[in-house]
Amino acid sequence: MLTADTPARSSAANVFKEGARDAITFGVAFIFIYLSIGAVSAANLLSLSQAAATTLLIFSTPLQFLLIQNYSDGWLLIPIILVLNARFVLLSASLAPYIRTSSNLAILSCLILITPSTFTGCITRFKRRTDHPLQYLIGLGLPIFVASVICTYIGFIAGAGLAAPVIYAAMTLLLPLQFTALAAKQWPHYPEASSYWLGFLGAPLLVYLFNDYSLLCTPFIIGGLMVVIEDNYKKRGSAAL
Amino acid sequence: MTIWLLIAFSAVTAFAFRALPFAFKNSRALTQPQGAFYRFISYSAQAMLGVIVYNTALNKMDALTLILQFQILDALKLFLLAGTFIAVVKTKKILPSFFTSLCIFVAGYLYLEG
Repeated sequence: MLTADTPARSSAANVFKEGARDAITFGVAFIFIYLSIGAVSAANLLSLSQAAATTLLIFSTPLQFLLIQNYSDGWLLIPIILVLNARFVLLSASLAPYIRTSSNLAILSCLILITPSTFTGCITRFKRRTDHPLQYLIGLGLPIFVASVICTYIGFIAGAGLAAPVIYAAMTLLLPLQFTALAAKQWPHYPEASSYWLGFLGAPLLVYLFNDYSLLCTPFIIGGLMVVIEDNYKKRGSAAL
Repeated sequence: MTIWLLIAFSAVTAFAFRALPFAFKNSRALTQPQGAFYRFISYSAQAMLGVIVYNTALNKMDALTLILQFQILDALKLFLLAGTFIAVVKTKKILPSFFTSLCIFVAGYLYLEG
């Protein structure tokens, strides 16, 4: 069990509200992203129910774009779907120590809310406070999820009006800006921030080794490397004392 | 019909991968954040975000392709990503840096692409 480093304990309702307030910061990019997902779905001749189902059932931006734009490739997409979804293991495993005391039913019903953005929001919070962690995850994730579903619908209805080249260009930087800003919130936790930038810098190099599986393999190489570096650093520090 | 099957497969696997670690939630490895395994998972998760960002912003280009096909727009992206990181570290606020960078990028894109 983690020891709670809590400046002041709040009620579950207050923690939920704090999560909902943080959702504005951590989830703002979702508005633009899911408007685009709706618009791109319409442009690729998906039905409204199919576009909505991708958000309601999958809630994974890169995977949704992949499905929407390449569904004609059919079963060839399966290995890529597995790789893209496998990343959720890392996010859930990182959150598990904090929310493991909640009931299994409560955890299972909140799984859809686990995304890189809610993960970063939660980890940033849990490093400071660990009271009512599941309520915080729900408070943070639920507004983002609901807004994403609504934006998918609006984007689909607006359709071609949103599918301008400048929107597509902005799309290529929306998610990166969002994730980079979230990574900066890890500061001054240097190993986490360094891992993020090593992942960014390592991607164009390690792709030569792992090709299509770079998204899955590169992070593990960097994660292992960081642990080794950190342990050596600690050993040197203790030897110096 | 294929699209529905793909959506169903994606939904089931996304749920399964999200749920999998909680099957081991009481294991020693996942209850000790200072332990090597948890740190490995935690740092790998951060590195994965970095890989996603690179792949999205720079279209999964390998290092050689990036150098050979480097454009001003790519330089602008790199500058804005680094700038956003530094600005959020300094100000502790996400939204102003996010919107400023996004506006600069859209303006840059419109200027460069006519």
